[in-house]
Amino acid sequence: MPQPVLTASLMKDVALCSSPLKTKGALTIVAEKDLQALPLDLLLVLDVSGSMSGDGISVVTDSMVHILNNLMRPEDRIAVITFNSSANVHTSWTDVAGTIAPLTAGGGTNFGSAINEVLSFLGGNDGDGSRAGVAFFLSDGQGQPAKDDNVRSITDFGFTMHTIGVTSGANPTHLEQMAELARGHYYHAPGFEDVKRAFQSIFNYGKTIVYAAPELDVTVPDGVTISDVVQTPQGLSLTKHLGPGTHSISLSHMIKDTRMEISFSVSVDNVSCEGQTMIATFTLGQTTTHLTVRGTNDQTELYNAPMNTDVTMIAHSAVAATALKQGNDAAVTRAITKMEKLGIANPNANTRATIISQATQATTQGERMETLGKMQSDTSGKTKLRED
Amino acid sequence: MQCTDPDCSRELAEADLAAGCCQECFEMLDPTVVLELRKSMGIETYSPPEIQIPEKQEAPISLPSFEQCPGCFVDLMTNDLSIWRKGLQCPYCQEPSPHQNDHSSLSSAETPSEQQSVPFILNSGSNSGTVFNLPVSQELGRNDFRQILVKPEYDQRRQFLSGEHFKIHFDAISQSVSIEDLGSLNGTFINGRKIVGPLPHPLTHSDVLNLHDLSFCLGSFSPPAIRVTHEPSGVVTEHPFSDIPLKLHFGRSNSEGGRESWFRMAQVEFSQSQDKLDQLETISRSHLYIELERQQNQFSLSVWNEVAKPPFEVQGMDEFTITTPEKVTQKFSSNESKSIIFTHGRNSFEVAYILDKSTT
Repeated sequence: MPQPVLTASLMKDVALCSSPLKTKGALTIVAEKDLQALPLDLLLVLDVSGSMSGDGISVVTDSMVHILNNLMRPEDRIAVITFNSSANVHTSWTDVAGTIAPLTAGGGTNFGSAINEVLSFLGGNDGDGSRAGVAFFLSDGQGQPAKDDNVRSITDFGFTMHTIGVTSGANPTHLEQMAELARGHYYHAPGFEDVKRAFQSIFNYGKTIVYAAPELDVTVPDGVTISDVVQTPQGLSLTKHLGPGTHSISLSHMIKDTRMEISFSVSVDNVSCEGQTMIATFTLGQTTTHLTVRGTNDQTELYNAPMNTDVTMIAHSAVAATALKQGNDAAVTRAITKMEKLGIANPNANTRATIISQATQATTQGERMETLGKMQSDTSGKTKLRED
Repeated sequence: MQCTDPDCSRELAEADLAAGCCQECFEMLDPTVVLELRKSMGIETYSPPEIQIPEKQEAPISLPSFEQCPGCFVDLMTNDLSIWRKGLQCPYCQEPSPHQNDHSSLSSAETPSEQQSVPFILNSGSNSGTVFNLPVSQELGRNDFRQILVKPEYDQRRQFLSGEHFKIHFDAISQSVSIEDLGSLNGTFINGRKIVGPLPHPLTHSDVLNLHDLSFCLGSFSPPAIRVTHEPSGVVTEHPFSDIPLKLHFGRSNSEGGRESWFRMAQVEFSQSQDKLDQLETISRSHLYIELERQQNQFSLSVWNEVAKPPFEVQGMDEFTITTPEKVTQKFSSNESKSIIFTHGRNSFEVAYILDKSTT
């Protein structure tokens, strides 16, 4: 049975021995080529507070009917959870033959109860990886926030959650953070008319999933610390810190014919002079890869050892995406400049720099983050924007 | 120099250069920083090892020598050219040749750079020992040999030649001869090895050219000084003055372990008769050596036998039998022709010194 290909590398594969080391590393995951896309479970988490009445409800209903009648494949399922001050399962799992009852709007907005309802609904769902679960959370308002841990545990059920912010009232940064915790993307909908497009986009994305929210196991030996683990090119912050021990990280869905890239910083207390020093072991399903560094005293060899331009590009792109999310324009520009310099050695860095600098041109933070979410890297590391 | 991260004030040092990364804040060093850092620390810039581009070997394209007729602008080549150079008129437009007033004869008018033909000694059949000048840069095949080998006994052997069998190249600069097989059916063999491909195979003096059972031996451009004839096969090899000092070997194997030219050709000649082949093999792999040196007007000829090999009888020097590996040396004047015959059983070699008439 074919397995995904895991490649872990450091900026340089040699390091000065008998001394500490700080460097950047990257893990890339490429799925088998001819993998079939998984059947899709689409969970709609819809804001039906008072502000959604009228246009909002009719656009959402139209979009749902469109998905049900035109886009869904026979193996796909859909379910709807509605929330205002409290949350309810509006429609349980139904396939293409089912119907969805009309929605009614009214009341306040409470994100926390919505997420709780999602978790209890998914609690009966077995996340065995045979189906891809995509939840999407639509809101036009600022509600009471959900607990981070609760949002994060959505991935435990093999689901990722995307968020759509109708920005006449919603706070994009807040919704973006929710999407990031649940390994999804943020979609930007300035008005209700944009909601339909976002629905379609998410559905099309869902149809290309080959691995549903895979778990990556990382084993870090004593004397090594891994930090700032960021999935690129979307700039999804996976975790801040991994000390010695074994850790499990939920990744976002793996899309057909793409490369998943994970950038991280490595601190080693002491690089051994003999042989390879173990830095980490990465395991995804049946596949395992070891990241090591060779210690040497030879100054010339160290200085002349080539830099792995792929690792450097991934690291720069993680910096750029993180800065873009934080709205730190100076840091984004700096990262773009560095990527452009790298472009001489690695043309992929150039295309990525161009796309990120295009993202910075967007007028609203919501648009920027939507562009980030649409960035994907093909199996050779070339970046492009996903088209829906 | 300082780390490029505005929030980090680390002074970059060797450790940072070695890791390619700031050892404080993980800031990656970009190529310009690396260069500056190397400069400030006095480490010479890294240049990747030089890679040598392999020379591409191609078949040399040698243009045939030609002259353009001023009357009809036809490029005169090969036979037409030699007629033209002899002073005869252009065969196409009867334009008179400017060469008719040339005083010199054809042979001396031709400088080596305009070499038209290469001498090959035929070593097959009753015409063995005849020297043929085969034209260069021309496709040679069955029809060309019909005009050379006219005796009926050669009809059978000619059948194995292709219509366009091979081509001889002459490089005027290096004065070297090479031969190219034109995809013949039965192949062109040099010293027993089939030559293939578009690259001409270089030929050196005394190399044996085999076209099926026709044997030729590359002769000398200048008049021969020494002519060696093997009886009873009639195989002839020639050596010009420029080859002296000369070492001849009357044995079956050469120093590289291959067959000596004379033996190779004699074998082909006797291929139909097991009895004659057996006779040939009475000569050992390494047997009789002859060395010829020249000191002004004198030649000194040294002869010696390989240890424990049957003796040769000698005629033409002081008659005696060579039985020992000790050298027997005789001197003779360069002003007289000389013929010495070395005999062993039914094999004999005649070594003839031919006077160079042009020098006398």
